[in-house]
Amino acid sequence: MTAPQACEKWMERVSAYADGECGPLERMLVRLHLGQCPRCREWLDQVRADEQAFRAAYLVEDEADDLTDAVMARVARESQAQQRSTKRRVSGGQRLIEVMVAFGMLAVLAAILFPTFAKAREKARQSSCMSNMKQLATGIQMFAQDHDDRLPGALTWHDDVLPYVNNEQLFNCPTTETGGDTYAINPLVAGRNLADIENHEGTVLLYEVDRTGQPVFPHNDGANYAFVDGHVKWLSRRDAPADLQTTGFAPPERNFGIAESLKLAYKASVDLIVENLYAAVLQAEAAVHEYGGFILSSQLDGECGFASLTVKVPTPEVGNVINALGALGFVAHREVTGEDLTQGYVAAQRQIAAAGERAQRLEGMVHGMADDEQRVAAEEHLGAVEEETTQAQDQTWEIDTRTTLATISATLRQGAGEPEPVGVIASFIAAGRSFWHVLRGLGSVAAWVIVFLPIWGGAFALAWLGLRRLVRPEES
Amino acid sequence: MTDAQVVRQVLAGNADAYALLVQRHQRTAVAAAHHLTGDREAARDIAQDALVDAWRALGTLRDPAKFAGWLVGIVRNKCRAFLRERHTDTVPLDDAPLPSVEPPEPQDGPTLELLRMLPLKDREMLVARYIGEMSYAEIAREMKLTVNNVRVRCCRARQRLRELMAEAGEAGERS
Repeated sequence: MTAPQACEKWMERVSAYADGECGPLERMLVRLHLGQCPRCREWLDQVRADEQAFRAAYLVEDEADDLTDAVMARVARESQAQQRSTKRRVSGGQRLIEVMVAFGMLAVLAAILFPTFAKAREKARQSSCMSNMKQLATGIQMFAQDHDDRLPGALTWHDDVLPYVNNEQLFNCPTTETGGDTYAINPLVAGRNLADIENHEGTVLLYEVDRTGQPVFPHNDGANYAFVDGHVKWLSRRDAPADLQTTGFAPPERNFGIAESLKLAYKASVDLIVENLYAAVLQAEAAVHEYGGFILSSQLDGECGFASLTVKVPTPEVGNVINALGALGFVAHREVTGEDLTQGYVAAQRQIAAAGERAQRLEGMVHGMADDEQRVAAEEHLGAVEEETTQAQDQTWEIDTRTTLATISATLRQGAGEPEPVGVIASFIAAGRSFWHVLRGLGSVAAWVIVFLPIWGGAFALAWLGLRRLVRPEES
Repeated sequence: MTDAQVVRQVLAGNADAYALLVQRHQRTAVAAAHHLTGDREAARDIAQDALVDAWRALGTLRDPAKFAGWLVGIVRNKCRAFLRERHTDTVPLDDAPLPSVEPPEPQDGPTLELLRMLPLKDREMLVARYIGEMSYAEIAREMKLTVNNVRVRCCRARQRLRELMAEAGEAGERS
């Protein structure tokens, strides 16, 4: 039997009333309604009766339903297993061992990773340096194209190339960073014509130097080299071009593939700081004589602690003499430049040959001439041609002299090691430089801290946890 | 000792105290499982598993006084899994048992046969209300419904139950 349609809306309320889920007001309303409506009273009775029947149907007493033993047996088994697994972790000493093991692993990890990271950083700088050299080499090639294939001079190459690369930063290697240029052009190709260099891909164009102009190997015990053909390559200290490695330049007979027939006038200058000025000057003069050179001028000012030497040495011995001078003290500056006089020499030779032909022709004409006036004019002309020949011969003689004998000017100063900056302004500059170095040092330390924060942070967190456990081992 | 006190004792490490809870509520668990699955044997297994699961997860029980309702919730989930599994349990035709000639012996009384005809939704509602003795608010939280929704569903389940009872009564009178 179903409840009547009229009471449909009350059925839900009565159902809730039977469950005791009505509010006080609803309860009162339901009671009032139940007093008036016999059908809803019947519905309430049915609900209650069905509930009883439902419960009676399921909640039966059955011996087989006693699950207590089975459940408790399983609970006991699991409980024991849990206790065993927790016992394994109770000892404070064991925790300490775990922490120590973690520390050890971190230390090993750091020991492996730190040098790797350092190498990787250096590799990055090396790439940056390579890029600098590549751009500079390209700049030099562009300069040569604009100047009849002539490479820039050793002294002027920085200013020559700057308009082509338009970036002062390129002249500094990120590793070396001396404040000045860290690259030098090979003095034996500087100012040369590209056509005179035989082996472009094997001839060094640019190499890395320190403040004193000495070749350096800042990148993982090697250095970058730019070659005349424009390619840049990293070479280890062992594979570096031998001449650059030892002296910074080669004696002219081993001149990186430059043609032997060239007329090259070498000029070198060396600034030395020596401990004993007088002895150094004597040794320098002896060295010059040893290599077949002679002294053009030698001045010594003992009071000012200054000496200057100008010498001529056979061109093939330039490298040896400069090496010998460099051994006398600290080399503050050293430079070798070579002037290519080949074109002038060739022109003079041609002039001589042409003048000779003209002179022969004129002499023939002079003999055959009847008119005295014409003969006098021809003889005058012949005189001028001979004068011209003499001048061209003088020129070739001068070029020969200059190319067989190189000029070396040496400046020697009294002092011990590297000169310190003097004066108030220089002191300020030095102080500023030191401050900048300190700042950079702090910056790199901060960078390391940030980069390795995950490792440090983890290590400190572990240490903190370990200490806490040791101090209060019972609290866990 | 109330359920809440027993639960606290068990949580404090006295696992044996759980036996008291098992004794108190095993009938409820079996009844709920029986009603939902319609299989008395399976109901016992499900109830046993549910009681062990309840012990494992006792730490997550928010209100220790509502242990019975919480247990019925676990039983309900287990029954759903059981029914789903049974539903997908297929047997190749060759292995299928031959249909027996004799009609199966009725395991349960006529009331239970009747109740089994209720839809699962209604059965869940009646189990929660009559066996789990949960309030509307608790049922709503357990089944993720609103209280008003529970109230309506409860009334409908009762109406259907009444219809079934009435039909059974008429059939009985006719026979």
